[in-house]
Amino acid sequence: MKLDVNPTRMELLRLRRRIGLARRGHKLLKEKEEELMRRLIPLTKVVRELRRRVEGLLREAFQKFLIARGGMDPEVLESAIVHSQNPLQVEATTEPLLNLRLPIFRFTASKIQDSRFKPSYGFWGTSGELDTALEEYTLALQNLIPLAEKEKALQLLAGELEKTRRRVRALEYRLIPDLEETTRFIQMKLSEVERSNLTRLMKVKDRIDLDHRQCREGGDQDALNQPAHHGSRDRPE
Amino acid sequence: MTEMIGGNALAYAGAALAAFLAGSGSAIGIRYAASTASGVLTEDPEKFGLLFVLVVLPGTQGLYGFFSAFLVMLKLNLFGGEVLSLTTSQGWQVLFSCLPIGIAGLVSGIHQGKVCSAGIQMTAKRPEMAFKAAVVYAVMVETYALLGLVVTLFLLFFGIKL
Amino acid sequence: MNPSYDDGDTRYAYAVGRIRTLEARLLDGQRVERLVEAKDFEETFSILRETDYGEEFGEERVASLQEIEQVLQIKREGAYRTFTELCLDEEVRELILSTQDYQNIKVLIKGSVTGEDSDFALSQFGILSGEKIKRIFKEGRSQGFSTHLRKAVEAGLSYDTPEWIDIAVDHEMFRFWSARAKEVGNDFILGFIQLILDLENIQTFFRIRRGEGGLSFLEKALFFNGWGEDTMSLHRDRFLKAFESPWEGISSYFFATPYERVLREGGEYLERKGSFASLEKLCDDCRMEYLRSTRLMTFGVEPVIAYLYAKENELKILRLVFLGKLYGITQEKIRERLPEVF
Repeated sequence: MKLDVNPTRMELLRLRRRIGLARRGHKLLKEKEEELMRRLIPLTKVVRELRRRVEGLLREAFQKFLIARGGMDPEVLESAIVHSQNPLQVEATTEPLLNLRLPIFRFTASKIQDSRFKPSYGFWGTSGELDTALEEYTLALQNLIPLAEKEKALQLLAGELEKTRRRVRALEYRLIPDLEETTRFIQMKLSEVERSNLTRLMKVKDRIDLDHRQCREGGDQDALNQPAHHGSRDRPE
Repeated sequence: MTEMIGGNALAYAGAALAAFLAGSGSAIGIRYAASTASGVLTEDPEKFGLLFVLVVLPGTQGLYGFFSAFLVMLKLNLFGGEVLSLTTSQGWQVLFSCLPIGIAGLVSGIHQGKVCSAGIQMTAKRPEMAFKAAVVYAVMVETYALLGLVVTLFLLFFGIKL
Repeated sequence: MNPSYDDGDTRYAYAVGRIRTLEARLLDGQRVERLVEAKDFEETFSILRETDYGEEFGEERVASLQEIEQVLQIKREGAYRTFTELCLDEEVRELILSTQDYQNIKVLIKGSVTGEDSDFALSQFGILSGEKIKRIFKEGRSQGFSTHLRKAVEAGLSYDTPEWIDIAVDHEMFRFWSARAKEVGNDFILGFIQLILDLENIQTFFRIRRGEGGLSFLEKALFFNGWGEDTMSLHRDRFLKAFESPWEGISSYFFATPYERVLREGGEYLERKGSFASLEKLCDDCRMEYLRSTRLMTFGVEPVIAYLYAKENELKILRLVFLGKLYGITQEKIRERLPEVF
């Protein structure tokens, strides 16, 4: 679709600059899209695998926890869990990738990093199944944090990819064709204007020539010749 | 004179022992059975009918004792106006004839009470066994109180000639 | 004549009568089996309708886990009330209920150490109610406690990590139980305390063996009875020696003890599936089997004690069944943990 601009030479120059810019931008964005895709595909695989594992672990841990819960007195369970001395602290930083800032989560000040889980309750009344359940939750958590990190990255990448792709499309199918059409239009318009100017000039020149001759010879002859003359001059254009 | 009083005193002692020992046995026995029955009935009042027999069973010893004591009184013609006077040896005879029901009543009463208590506990869980087993077992204990009574009766009627 | 041997303590004639009726109302094995096999909640409730739980699970719709837990808690309260009412011996009552007091002490000490408010975990079933024990503790008047609880408070306060507070207080608890059981002089109670002590040590043994802490931790965590090492049916040395042994060899250290099967089967299951379910089930079964001996006692406090634990066991069964139904745990998994009925 043609843009709504004044068909002037200035505009034409401006549009030509814009086309150049759009072409360059299109190329860059295309490259970015490819790069994003290149990163996205392995990441989806990683996330899918990680998610499957975390879900499996959580399911297992939950079942064990339920069995433990069934086998314990409610108040013993509550007091065993509420006083947990395994605080969990996660440090969040970011890592730049293209124009994105991907999150990085790291465990700090936590016993979770230890592979072996140490319960913070005594043995009487508590179930061994609770140990194993909490241990498995810990294991799940060790995978859950990276999963959160990866999944967020995946989301960001996917969002970015979509945006980039939309821009590429917009450039490719909209802006660049539009600009090109407009420049063509302006060029045509300009050449038309030029032609009409030329004609007008020639006409004026003929008029002036005729006037000169009349003044010199004082006859109507030239005035009669003029249309034929005019036609012959016009045709080759 | 002293001899005559001695004979009667011994006979009275015999009657008293029969009533007292057998009665005590029954009282203790019923206490066990009745306590347990109360416990069961607290939770399940509908079992009253089933448990009644088991609570009453240990009471028979007391009746036997009372019956024996009554016989001694009849023998002495206590209600006929003139009380017979017994020699010392006759007094001893009456006293000893009373012991079988007295002692058997005491011991069997207590134990029957326990058996009945156990029977009541069983009835709480298996009501259908109340008469099949619980009462039968209790009656087995009863047998020996009854034998004691029979011995006492024979001794009183056939053993002693007043 | 001492009534405690012969036919038992006949003061309990009434209590035992009541207990027998209550025992008759406990869920039997068949019904539990049907509960496990029930397809959904609806069916579970319809099975319970004809039982002691009919009133709660019958007409009204109890749907959420919270409501179920509430009902179970009410039933538990009832069992403790019955026990308190029927147990005529102050010493025995204190012995059996003290576990709840110790639980409360642990909650309070841990709460004061970690700063975590955990008063909701206070048990109401102890000799002292949760509120009372809390008030005494907060005011720092530990002389308001009886001697054994005071000792436990002191022991617990000398540590600052929750697990050690628990362990210290639990040790005091077993010490008190042993002493009190000896004082009462009832063979059944003595045997029962010894049994739970042994079972607890067996579970602790396996838990430390698969967790961390090692031998030195085990040495500190194992419980004593207060009657001297040699009277223990499972000597601590057995555990310490068996600690490094591979699992196949463990049960041989416990050869010819009543727990050989528990150790062998529970240990094997733990090793193969990494789950304590079987071990805990076997321990529960051991306890129930011991308590089942009270069925033969005509008089005495024993059936009263047994009923309390039988009821707790039943509530445990129901809790497991309901959790299984609610969260879709497979029947096999539930069965592996489900203790036998009394």
